[in-house]
Amino acid sequence: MTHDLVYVYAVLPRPLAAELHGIDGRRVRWVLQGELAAAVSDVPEADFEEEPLNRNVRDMGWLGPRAIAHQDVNARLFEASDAIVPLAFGSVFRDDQRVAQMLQEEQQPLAQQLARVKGAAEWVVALHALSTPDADQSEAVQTARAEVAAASPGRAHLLRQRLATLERDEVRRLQSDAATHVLQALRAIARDVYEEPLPADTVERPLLRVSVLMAREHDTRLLDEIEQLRSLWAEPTYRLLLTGPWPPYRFAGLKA
Amino acid sequence: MTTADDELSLLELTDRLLNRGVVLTGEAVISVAGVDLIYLGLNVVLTAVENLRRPHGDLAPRDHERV
Repeated sequence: MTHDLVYVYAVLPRPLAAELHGIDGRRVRWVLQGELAAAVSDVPEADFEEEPLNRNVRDMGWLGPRAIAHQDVNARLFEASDAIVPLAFGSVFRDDQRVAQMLQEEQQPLAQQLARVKGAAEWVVALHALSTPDADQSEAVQTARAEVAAASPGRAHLLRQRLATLERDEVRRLQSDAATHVLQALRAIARDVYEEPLPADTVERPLLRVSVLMAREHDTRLLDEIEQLRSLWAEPTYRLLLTGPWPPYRFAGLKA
Repeated sequence: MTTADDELSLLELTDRLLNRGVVLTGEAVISVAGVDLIYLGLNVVLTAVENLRRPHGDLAPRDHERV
């Protein structure tokens, strides 16, 4: 018979009455300690012991349904409670006693995290460049184009190389301006903003990717702001993506 | 059926859940070691997602790309 481990979804100020099912359809139950309650379910050791777990998370066929189950539980808890610290996928403990021990040892940071995200949701905003913005407005580019047009064929070749550099720099500047503007606009309305590190070598590298912590009562303010930003940084040059509301994974997650 | 939006949602989801690696280390807890799956394995993930079946409902919070 295989042994079970205890999987933790989230920490809340108090347990909820809702009947929930988590990974592999197992019932969600509560581990209580002091002023905190952890939502947990049992998971098989064969899948969730450290070595198989670290192998399994690289397999999307295995990870997908379990990640969805994790999120489903946290989404329900998030909707039903005004404060939640959702844990990252794969927070696994040997038994309930170890969970209680964690709640006790982390009591202060957990209480601070709960206070920080109380009444707030997390959103993800990403700005992508769909096509190259127009460099025509740049005086340097205009001047260089005029010089190319007026130059002799030999000299025009050299000038064209310089023009290409100018145009590339101008495009970078415009894209960087767009990203900065979006970031500042979000900072102006959000409770907190976290600029996500950008991936180095993917096909669709965004210009900007941020997590936004926003009071739930201001959801519509964010949606309005996004609409406005979309009209400023419009397609087909830019695309602004928004997902949410998420439980505050980024802002409330436990620190290593 | 898995659409492109679902793939994006699942990518976003795994990014939310896994991005920080994990959590606590030591005796009390087992942790996922430094998983940076979302962007490192983007192509692999996208391929794998096509074979995925959703149990029910939405993968993730509604995507507001087209409101």
